[in-house]
Amino acid sequence: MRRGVLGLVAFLILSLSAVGFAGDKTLVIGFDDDLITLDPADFSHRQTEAMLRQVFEGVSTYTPDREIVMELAESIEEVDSTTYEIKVRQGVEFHDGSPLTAKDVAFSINRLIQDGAMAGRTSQRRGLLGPTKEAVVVDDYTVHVKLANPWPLFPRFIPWQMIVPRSVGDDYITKPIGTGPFVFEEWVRDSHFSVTRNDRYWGRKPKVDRVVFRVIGDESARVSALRSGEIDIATFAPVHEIPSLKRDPQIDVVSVMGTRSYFLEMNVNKPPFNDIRVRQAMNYAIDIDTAINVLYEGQATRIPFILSPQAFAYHDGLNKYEYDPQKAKELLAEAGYPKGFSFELDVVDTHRARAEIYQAMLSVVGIQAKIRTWPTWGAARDAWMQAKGRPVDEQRDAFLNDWGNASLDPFDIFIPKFHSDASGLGRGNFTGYSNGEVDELLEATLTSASDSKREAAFIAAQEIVHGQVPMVFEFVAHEIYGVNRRILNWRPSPDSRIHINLLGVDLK
Amino acid sequence: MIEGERALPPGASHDKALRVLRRVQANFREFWRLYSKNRLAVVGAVIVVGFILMAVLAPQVAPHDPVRPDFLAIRRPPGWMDGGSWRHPLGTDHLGRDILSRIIYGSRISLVVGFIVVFLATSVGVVLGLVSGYYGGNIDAFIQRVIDTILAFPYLILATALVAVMGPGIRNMLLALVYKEWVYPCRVVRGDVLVAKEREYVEAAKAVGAGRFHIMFNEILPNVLASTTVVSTLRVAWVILMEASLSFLGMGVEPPTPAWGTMINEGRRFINTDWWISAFPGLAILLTVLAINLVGEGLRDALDPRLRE
Amino acid sequence: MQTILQRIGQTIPVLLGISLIVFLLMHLTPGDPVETMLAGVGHVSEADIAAMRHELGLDRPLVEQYLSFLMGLLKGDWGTSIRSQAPVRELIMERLPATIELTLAAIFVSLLISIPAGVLSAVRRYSFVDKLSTLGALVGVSMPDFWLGLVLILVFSVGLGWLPGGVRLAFDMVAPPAVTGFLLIDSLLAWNWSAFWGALRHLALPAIALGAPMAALTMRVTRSSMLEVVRQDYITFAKAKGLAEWAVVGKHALRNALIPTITVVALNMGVLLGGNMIIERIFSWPGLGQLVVDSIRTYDYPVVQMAVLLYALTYVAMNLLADLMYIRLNPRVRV
Repeated sequence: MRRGVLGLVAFLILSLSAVGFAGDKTLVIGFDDDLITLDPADFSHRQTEAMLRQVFEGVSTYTPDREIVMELAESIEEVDSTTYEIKVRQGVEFHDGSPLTAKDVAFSINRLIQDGAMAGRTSQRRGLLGPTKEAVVVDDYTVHVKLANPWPLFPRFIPWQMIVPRSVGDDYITKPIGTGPFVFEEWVRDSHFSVTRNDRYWGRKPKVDRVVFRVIGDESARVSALRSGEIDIATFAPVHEIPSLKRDPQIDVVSVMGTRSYFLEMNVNKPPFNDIRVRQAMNYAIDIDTAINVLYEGQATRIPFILSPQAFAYHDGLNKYEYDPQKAKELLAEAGYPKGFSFELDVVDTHRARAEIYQAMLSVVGIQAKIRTWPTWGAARDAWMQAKGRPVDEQRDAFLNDWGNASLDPFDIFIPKFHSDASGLGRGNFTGYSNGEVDELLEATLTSASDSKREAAFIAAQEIVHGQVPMVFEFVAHEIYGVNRRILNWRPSPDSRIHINLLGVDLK
Repeated sequence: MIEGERALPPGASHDKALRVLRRVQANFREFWRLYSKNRLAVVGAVIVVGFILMAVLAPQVAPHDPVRPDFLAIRRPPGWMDGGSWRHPLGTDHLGRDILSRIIYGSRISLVVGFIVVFLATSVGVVLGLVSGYYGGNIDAFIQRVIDTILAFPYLILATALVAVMGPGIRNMLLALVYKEWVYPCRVVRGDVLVAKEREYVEAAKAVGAGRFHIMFNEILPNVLASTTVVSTLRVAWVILMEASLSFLGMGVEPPTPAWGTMINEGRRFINTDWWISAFPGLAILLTVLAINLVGEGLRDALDPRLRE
Repeated sequence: MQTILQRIGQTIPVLLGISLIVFLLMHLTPGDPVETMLAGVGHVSEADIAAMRHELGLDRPLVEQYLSFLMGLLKGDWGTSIRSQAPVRELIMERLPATIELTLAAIFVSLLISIPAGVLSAVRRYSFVDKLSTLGALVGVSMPDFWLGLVLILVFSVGLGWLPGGVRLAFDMVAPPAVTGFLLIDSLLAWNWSAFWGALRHLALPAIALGAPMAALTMRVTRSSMLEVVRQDYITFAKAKGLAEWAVVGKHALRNALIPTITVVALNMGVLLGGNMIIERIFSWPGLGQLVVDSIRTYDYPVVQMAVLLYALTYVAMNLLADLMYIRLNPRVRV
């Protein structure tokens, strides 16, 4: 017995004196998902982007206020309608000590657009560079980017790409070497991704020594870890935890309007959704405001179309359907479905609750939604794509879906969702919506040099599509972060990136 | 009791029917005498009957619609807690649905899956067990190796993988569970057959020239039914646990149909704030499975004293 | 000796059967497995599909595919994950230590509960303690393990705040250098007591949740085998010699009753391995069980195949071991 007590005391003393904890200024961020890859050209995934962006930089970047600032470029200028000139910053070094030159910048851009440039694989991010054809080195610090056709969006989309050293060659990147304010330390799959301060950083040096991104998929666990002080920032905190987080004197709750739009897509070629009155009835029968209150406790903003109120060319004159089950019933009767109808509603497993709410709302007007859950978004998307080529009665009915629009430009949400070419520009067109006039308007925005012309085209297209109601338009959800008060200067960004050095984040 | 279950031959006289009925009565009395010695088994039986009644009479018993959300009563605590009301004795879930009503309806899924899977599995298992035990030799060896192979896969992993491959839905879930479940009655029956084969009545039947099928199904089968009944009852408890596990992993019935495992899975998100969403469905599983296990033990005592430790 | 060889011989068809089922799993998918597998990947062209079909050998006859699958297994080529592009072997090896650590801890917990309870109820047969532990065992096998896990988190983590309710180590703690992958051992090797203590605390709740159903199973066996041993002559003889009851139980009976208990643990490995899937999910434990669930959900068949194969092989090995042990101890047994 005595020996046991002594042992315990010794043990406790040892545990207190041990140096198990990380260095002084370590910022720990609890993330909902792991990185997919360490190669900055091979993902389309926000979490991966947020982590890799600590190590890699772009020629330019977006701030949390959605302004574009230069990063590795000193300037990006239009030379002519199909050529942009990038002046590369001088005196910048990669983490391996090699200097950054125009060759690295050109290499990085070409790596994104050439077939099989990454050990045989082609970048998934190519689509974000539109008609970019080639980057050529002009001199040590000048690059010319050639476009296949005029594309005035280039300066707005190049900030999404990261610059890698040309020594990468044909390889797939498994050890990230960038120019950023932090140096890659280690990635332990499904555990953490960590970086340390780059003391030779060309710009303002980071105030924190180390940043650890912890993968905590379970949202309750993420919030618990924030409460216990194990992590400093919890991303995507669930709304139902907000009240208790707000009561905690150590924790701030901050939120930002996200860039993901939610909607219910109806197959406009398949009965009964081929009748516009049925689609209108669906919009009248679903009470979006109540859904927002139930699912997000008000932390979401209703939208009349698929664009976020913050997006370029947002049309604020479009009407939102007010909840009116009576009107829905009348429209259904007019369309020949006085007793309603039944259809299959596809939904990704994680959006079960949303589907169940709509199911209950629709049943009030006699519409029976049979929910079909899919384990992943990809599986559901695939089912739609496979069914697309078949006769209309074998196609899927409706999909409770969402689409991210980090650029907040209609370019990567409006066009993929409503252009009729489902294998090309309209790669996300699940509704089967097809309208020649809309196609023309959307294509015009790709080459138009002036903002006002693009805006006018998008506005006109929105009016047409909105009038034909191919979807039940829902909302943009807010992203909620729990932050320990010892963190200074940090605030969230609508594109889910985590800015640390840009904001001068420090620890108390 | 066992003999009474055998169908009467078509030309049986009225007298004979009466005699059989009497024997059934007598057997039942004897059975109940043995069974009721185990008081826990009686309690278990009461609970099981209670759950079955609850499942059958769900529309009459449940205070609320189990699938209709109530947007004005989201995540209300149980009646006895602050902020709760006795309108929802066990509280409501994240969509304002009454948890008690969902538990009542959820018993349907659990019991239906439990009993149907075991019924199907026992049917397959008994036939294969008879064949395996009676024929012996290569047929037996083959069936036994198949069973060994199936046993090698952890139950839940095989079921999850099969449901994932076949797609969700109750039919696929039943199939996925039967794939594995038949091996258990099969093993028990085979063991019993090996013993029965050596008995005099089988020798006697052989001596009078009875065919194989006659011997297997008319002579041996009735004698192995007792242990099969016991094993099958205990298997129902296990299958209900597996159904709950599959539902918990999101591989169960489609929403909004309430299933206990699904309810626990949905409530897991709210573990820091609203514990009742996941706690009560778990209690329901525990109670049902425990009761069935108690009944199984009681049956074992009453039907098959050999099986006692 | 012949019995042993015979027993080993029996596993060969079983191993073939296992590999066949694992192989067929991918071919059971309705529709095209390649399209299903590529579903979550993103931009996929016809060329990608064809390339993948070729890479997986799906353009060859089924028998040939199966044979090359077998050859791959024997050569240690476990394929590549579709989701993460990492070698399957690497993914599994990364996860394996966490699962083994949890499983061993669960076995430890289950023996810690079941042996004293089993011995006590055998020695004090029909006493209150006996009845209580028998009922406890029944509750143990009737309880859904995932619910037990949640209740443990609810009480000890959310409610009382005594023990952590997830992962292997606090998020702000630096893990000791991975030598063996077992956190407890690695932290001892690094002389890092706070990591050791942290890892131990994190291990507690999941080990209890996983070990409890097993404890219920083993308790019964300990009890009945203790009863058997206690009845035997030499025990009576020892008692007659005047040895104290507990000394007899401790020295003679327990030693003989342990073998069946351990055999039952080995035979019920399936319960632990299956339970891993659920418990790891609830406790965010980065082990093989979670990898399997995630891979099943994302149709990452190469990972599913190998992980399921590993589970099945573990089960077969444990069974073989238990049987061989039994044969050795009872030379009269014919399998």
